[in-house]
Amino acid sequence: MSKPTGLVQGTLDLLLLKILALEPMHGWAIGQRLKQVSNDVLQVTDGSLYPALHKLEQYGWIEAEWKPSENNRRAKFYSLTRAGRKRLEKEAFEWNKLSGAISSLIQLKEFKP
Amino acid sequence: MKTASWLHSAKHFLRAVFRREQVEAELDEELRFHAEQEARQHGLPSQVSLEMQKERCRDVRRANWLEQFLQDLRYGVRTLRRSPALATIAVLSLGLGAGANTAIFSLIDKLLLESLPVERPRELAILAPRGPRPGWTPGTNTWSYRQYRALVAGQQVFSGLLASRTDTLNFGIDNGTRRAVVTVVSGNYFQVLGLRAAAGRLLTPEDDQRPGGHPVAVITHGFWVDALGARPDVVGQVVQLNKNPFTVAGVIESGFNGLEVGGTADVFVTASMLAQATGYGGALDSRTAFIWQLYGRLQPGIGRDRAAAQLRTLYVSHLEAEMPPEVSRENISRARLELLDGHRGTSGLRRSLETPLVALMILTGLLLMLACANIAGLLIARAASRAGEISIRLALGASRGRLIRQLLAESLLLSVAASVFGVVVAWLTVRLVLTQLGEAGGRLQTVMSFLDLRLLGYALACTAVTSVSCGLLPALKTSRAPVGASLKSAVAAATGGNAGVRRWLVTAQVAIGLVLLSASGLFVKTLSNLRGTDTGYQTDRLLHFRLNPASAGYERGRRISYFDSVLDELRTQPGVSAATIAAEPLLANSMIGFGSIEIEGYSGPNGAKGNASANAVAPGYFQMMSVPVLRGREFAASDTMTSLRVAVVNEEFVRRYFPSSDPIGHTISLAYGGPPQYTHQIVGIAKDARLNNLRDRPEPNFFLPYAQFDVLSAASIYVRHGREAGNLASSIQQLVSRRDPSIPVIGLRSVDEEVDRLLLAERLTAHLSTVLGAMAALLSAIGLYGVTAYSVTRRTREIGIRVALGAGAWSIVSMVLRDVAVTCLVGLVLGVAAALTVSRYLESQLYGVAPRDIATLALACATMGILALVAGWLPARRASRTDPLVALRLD
Repeated sequence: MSKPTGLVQGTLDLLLLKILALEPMHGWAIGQRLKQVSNDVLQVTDGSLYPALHKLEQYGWIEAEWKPSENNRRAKFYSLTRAGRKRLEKEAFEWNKLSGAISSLIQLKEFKP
Repeated sequence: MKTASWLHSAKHFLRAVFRREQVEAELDEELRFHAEQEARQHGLPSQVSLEMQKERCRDVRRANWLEQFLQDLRYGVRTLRRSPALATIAVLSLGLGAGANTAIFSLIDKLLLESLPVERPRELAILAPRGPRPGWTPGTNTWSYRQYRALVAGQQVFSGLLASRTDTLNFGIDNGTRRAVVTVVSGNYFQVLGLRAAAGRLLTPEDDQRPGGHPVAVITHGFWVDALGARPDVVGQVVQLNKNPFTVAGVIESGFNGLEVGGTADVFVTASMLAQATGYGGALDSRTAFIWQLYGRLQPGIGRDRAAAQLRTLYVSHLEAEMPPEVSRENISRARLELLDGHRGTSGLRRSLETPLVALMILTGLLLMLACANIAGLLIARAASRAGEISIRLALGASRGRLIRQLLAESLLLSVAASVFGVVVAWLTVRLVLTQLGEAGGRLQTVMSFLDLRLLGYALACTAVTSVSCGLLPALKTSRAPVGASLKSAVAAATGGNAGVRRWLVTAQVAIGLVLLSASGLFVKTLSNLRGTDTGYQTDRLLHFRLNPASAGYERGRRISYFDSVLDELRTQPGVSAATIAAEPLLANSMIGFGSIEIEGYSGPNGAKGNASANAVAPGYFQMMSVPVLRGREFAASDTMTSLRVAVVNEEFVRRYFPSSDPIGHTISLAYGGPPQYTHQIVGIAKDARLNNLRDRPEPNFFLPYAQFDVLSAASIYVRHGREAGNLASSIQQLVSRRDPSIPVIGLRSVDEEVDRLLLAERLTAHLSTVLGAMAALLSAIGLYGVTAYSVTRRTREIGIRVALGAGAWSIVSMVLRDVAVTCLVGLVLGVAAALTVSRYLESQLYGVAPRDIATLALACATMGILALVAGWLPARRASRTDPLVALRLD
């Protein structure tokens, strides 16, 4: 993630988990999908994508399988595990709580007594 | 969920370690795929290089630290292989230092620190009487059995109180006889100590009821294996103890060797069998046979001091009831009882070796410091010369932490190699020490195990702490190096600025080396002084052995005639020039102590009587031992059991008790544990001699004819022989065995050998400290050589210029040597100061040489000086041969 957006590192994990929840795919496709869905707002650099994926894999939230890709080349496809699904729910909940709080603060016109 | 993810992490970790190539291959493939897709779409190469991406992924890997560590080790091995000299010197010096330390530590641990192999040893206390014990030869902290019974009956502070005493006897099994050590114990001994049987059963209070009614014995595991060949039928076997039949009831669990550390325990019997096992049955009921050691197991919650105070009342009231009237009531009321920490048992070996071992520990600690200084110097030099390589690596993006870790991995490799070497050194050193200890060492060895993990841990700790701390500083310093400067020139890089530090390290080495050399000099001098001490009698060509007719059941009259006939026969043997008897052996600290001697014409302060140590000897003793009888006469054949009782006193006795009158004709009255019974008339004055040991000045002594010594049970026979001892030993054995095969010759040795044994502690210290001193000198020389070679390399250009300008070889050499001399001199000055301080603590160990002995210091300084010159001369010579063309071109 480019630093100026000021997002917490854990957010990248959340996004990756969510994308993989919808459909198993390999690293390149994840990056493309992210750009696409967010209209180019969220772009992950090559240097941060794979370390994040490997970390999630080590924790057991995603698992990997080598399959032939669209152009018949072998690629590493990631998919969500059951543990990962639980983790996603938890992270999503936390995120909603946090962003909800921030949004309501931003929208304040004045401080109520 | 947590379990699942833990399993996953573990799986990944193991895979990363054991299937590394596969993991790397997958990583490579995955990233390449991504790069290809990228290129296909944008036609642009990726922003971040492939390798950098891979590195970032590796960083995330859990197994990363292990991978990196293994990598560091492999790299460390390669770099160390490239400088074999450094690696060898480092491993050798560190190994020697650590090994010596480990050896001394293991001895100290075994002898000084370890607890008895019994249950809950910290609860044990040794009872120490501090009250009157009239009689003769009471040992350290010994009691009478009557006192033991009284304490057992009335005490409330112990959950168990045991009594024990050791002796030697003849152990007979299957028609073969050997000497064995017997420990006579109260019936509850094994219960109180919480020991178990390895076979059969152990003694219980039921075996201690009727005198003579329980002929059962128990043997130690060690005795069963060594003496009986671990025979499986031992339980139930009938054996002879001093010709009395006993049944072996069991074998004690292995590892237990009695309560005396460094002592032997072979056979155990109960106190009710005292008469059968030792021939001194009367000791159970005697008021004055203070021959039992008492150990008590304290009840939980009660401290030793409080328990002692509670027992005191019991002790004092028993004294009041039992002590003969000569013992003043005042003495009795002042009597106290002390409870000593019993968890380490008692040990004569410990007493004699305690201080020397601690002194040696200090010396080996110094040696280790010396080795540290050596290593530090080497590592500093190494780090400086690698500054260039390190700068390049820093420039390539290596993190500082990683570099430091890698340098430390090298130090760790050195330390592991050094500790392996150190363990070998330690093992050899301990073997050497145990050989020096002789018999005492043999017993200790059965208690020591060299694969003790604590030992190995200690050695590793020594080396690891040393090498890591010595490697850390240079590592920190160099990794901070400004990249530009070091990259420019190799020689400039070698100007680490650390020359000063190294010089000071060598100075320290020289100082420590001097301390060790001078300490060893003092110890060697002490030993030679002791060996050369004039005992006051002639000890050369003298054989000594003991005979104990009492243990074969001889009664008093028969014992004396036995000794008479043995002496007569000995004197007729070829090769024997003289033979004599002494009840107590010489130089064994065992002269018989008599308190309360009534000396005619002497009255001390408060009516105190005299006390002196005594021996009972044969007629002709003084002549044979070449002790001049200054006045009067010595004993003759006419001094028999029934004639007038006589005595010979020494000069010190006269000085103390007859300062102004003539002792000859006066009488002395001796008490054997009761009122003074025997009055002896003084008939001669002998010159002072050192009877007990080599160090103590002569005290008041007197001598009795052995025929007039009522309690003679065993005695020492001394035989002076001609040029060769030759077959004398075997003819003595035959002679004695012909007379009575049940009385064996005990301990046939030459007196010179015995004197050597006496000097056990001194020999140990002298030999070990010499070895340490030699090691120290060698290590210092190596250190000095290293530093000089280093500085010569640094100054190559300067030397080249000088040679080019016409300086001769000699002026170059002297220039280099001048530096060496300065370093050495400063080191020597510091060393002398340190040696003078340290030697003050060694004073108690020395004999005949002052701790500030100038000659020893001078010799040590000279030795170090010469070594330093030699060490410095080699690089100096190399420097003088510098080719100026080569030197000036070098950059």
